[in-house]
Amino acid sequence: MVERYKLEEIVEINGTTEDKLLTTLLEVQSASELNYISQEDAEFIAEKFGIPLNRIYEVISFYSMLSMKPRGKHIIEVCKSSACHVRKGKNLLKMLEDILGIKAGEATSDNNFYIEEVNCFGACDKAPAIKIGNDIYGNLDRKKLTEIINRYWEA
Amino acid sequence: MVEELKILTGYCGRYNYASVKEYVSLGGYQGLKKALAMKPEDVINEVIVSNLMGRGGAAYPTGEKWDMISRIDNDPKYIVCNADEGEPGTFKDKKLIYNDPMKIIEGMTIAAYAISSKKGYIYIRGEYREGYYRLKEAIRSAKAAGYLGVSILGTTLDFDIEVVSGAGAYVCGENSALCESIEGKSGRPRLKPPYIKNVGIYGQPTLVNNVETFSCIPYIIEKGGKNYASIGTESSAGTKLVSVSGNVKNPGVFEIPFGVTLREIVYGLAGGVEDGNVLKFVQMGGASGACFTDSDLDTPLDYKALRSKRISIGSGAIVVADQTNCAVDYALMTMEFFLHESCGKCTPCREGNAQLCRILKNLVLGTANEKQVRHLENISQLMMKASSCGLGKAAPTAVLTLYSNFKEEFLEHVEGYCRTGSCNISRKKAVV
Ligand SMILES: Cc1cc2nc3c(=O)[nH]c(=O)nc-3n(C[C@H](O)[C@H](O)[C@H](O)COP(=O)(O)O)c2cc1C
Ligand code: SF4
Ligand code: FES
Repeated sequence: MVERYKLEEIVEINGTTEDKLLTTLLEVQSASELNYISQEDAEFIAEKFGIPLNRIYEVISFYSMLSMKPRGKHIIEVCKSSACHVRKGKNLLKMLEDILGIKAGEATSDNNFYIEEVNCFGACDKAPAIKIGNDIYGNLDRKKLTEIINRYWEA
Repeated sequence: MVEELKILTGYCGRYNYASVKEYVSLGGYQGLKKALAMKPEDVINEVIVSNLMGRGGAAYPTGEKWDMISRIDNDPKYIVCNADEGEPGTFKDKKLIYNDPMKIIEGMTIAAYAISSKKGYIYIRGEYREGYYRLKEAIRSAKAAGYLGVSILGTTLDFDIEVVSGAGAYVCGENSALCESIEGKSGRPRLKPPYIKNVGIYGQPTLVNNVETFSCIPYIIEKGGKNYASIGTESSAGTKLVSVSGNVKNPGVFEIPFGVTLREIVYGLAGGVEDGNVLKFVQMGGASGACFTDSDLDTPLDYKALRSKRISIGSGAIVVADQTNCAVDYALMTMEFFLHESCGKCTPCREGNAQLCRILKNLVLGTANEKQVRHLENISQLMMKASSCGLGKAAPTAVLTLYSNFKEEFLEHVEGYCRTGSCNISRKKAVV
């Protein structure tokens, strides 16, 4: 759940016209501790936008960046599309799973990390690439990957 | 060696993306100033003369589209810049959005004047969050400097732009799904007709063009449609951005005049195949594009020349795969993309994607039989004919072209053998 003042602020900045629904959902989601939209937050948004709650849920389930399930503090997105695929992104995923001791679609026991396999996010020139929040890291090997993960442990 | 020709990307990285002043000092906004002194129909005529084709994938003539919308008598009309850039392997719009947003805004404003629109949207994929904020900032400064808002540059033109974010759905790049998504709904393509140009956002006439398309407009108006048409080839005017990635030494976005060969792009600009490996195939246009081998690389980048080889430029993505890659595994990866991204509304696409995935999965597990392999073609043909939108129609392209180029390799998988050892069979078993 996101704190009330924060929700109010997001809605205040974006406005409540329908074209701002997706951006509002994205911002509420990233303001939440575990990168998801809780029922309370969805209800808040439905009320502010004046649209039924079931439509909010329909939208959340349609768009792959949105989640109704708690995920983790940091989502590590691993690209599985063409450029990353041919530059052996699968090995990168295995390394990551190995370092964190979890599989894609799972969170570490402290909920600090969650791994998600995703489609191309436009960092193909740095393949194989990962995205953590809005930060993109590319051309990775095990050493670089470990360094990056450690930075997020400390943070 | 082939060189880039930067008539579109020349300002990239040379000004602060939110500074109108710096953009103007480089020569920005000359196109808009000139357009505002012309009649709207003359602006459209320049675009027609330029022979500019839409850069979002379908290569529809831009001037013709503008002309048709300008004649529709129904206000308000909306303008949408498609910045959804979802085709895997494509990152060229990102370059323009992050580094030269003012040019996109200028191009859209010229379009607004030409077709008489007061409101524009830039629909940007959710993954480009930083781009979303940059565009908003650029719009804010353009407004503050009188280049957007009411009576732009002291004329009677009123035009404003809003940035709308997607949230991760490839199908939203399809223009009717895009309209749905802008209205805050799930992005399922609409049945057509009616077409978006007549019935788009909130039921009103809507012009949709790609980021790169809008970015070409200021140059065309400033220098003239004839000048633009003289660049490139007879059938393909101007320059094109290509995103080259995969197993190449020097991946990146390159701006080249049409007519340069694919070999010059892959081996010249992108430095050729990395690690001393050999090129196996190239996929052009993203996941929905064709896969072809070295023998097609001498084809020039030209809509007509490529069409004769059944290759579409699509989004301008060029992904290079070397010989360490398994053709079947690549086909599976591509189909899993479409299975995930299909909106599920029509059966040929929803079921076809699932069937193709199942067969390809069995192939990389070594459990498929020859009959199933033959089904790949039938299912693909059906999807191409019967799917309702472009997603389902184009989804099997990679499977079909990989199968026709690497038939032997597909059949080897039936025998439980992969020559590359890189798919799930992962081991080069002796053929039994
Ligand atoms: C499934 C699908 C996805 C598409 N994705 C995009 C996209 O990401 N960006 C884009 O500009 N056009 C995309 N298009 C094409 C658009 O529907 C539309 O033709 C284009 O934006 C028109 O602009 P243009 O004439 O300037 O190319 C897509 C089409 C389909 C069928
Ligand atoms: S072809 Fe696929 S994406 Fe397009 S409408 Fe049908 S199910 Fe949806
Ligand atoms: S293919 Fe991985 S980021 Fe584009």
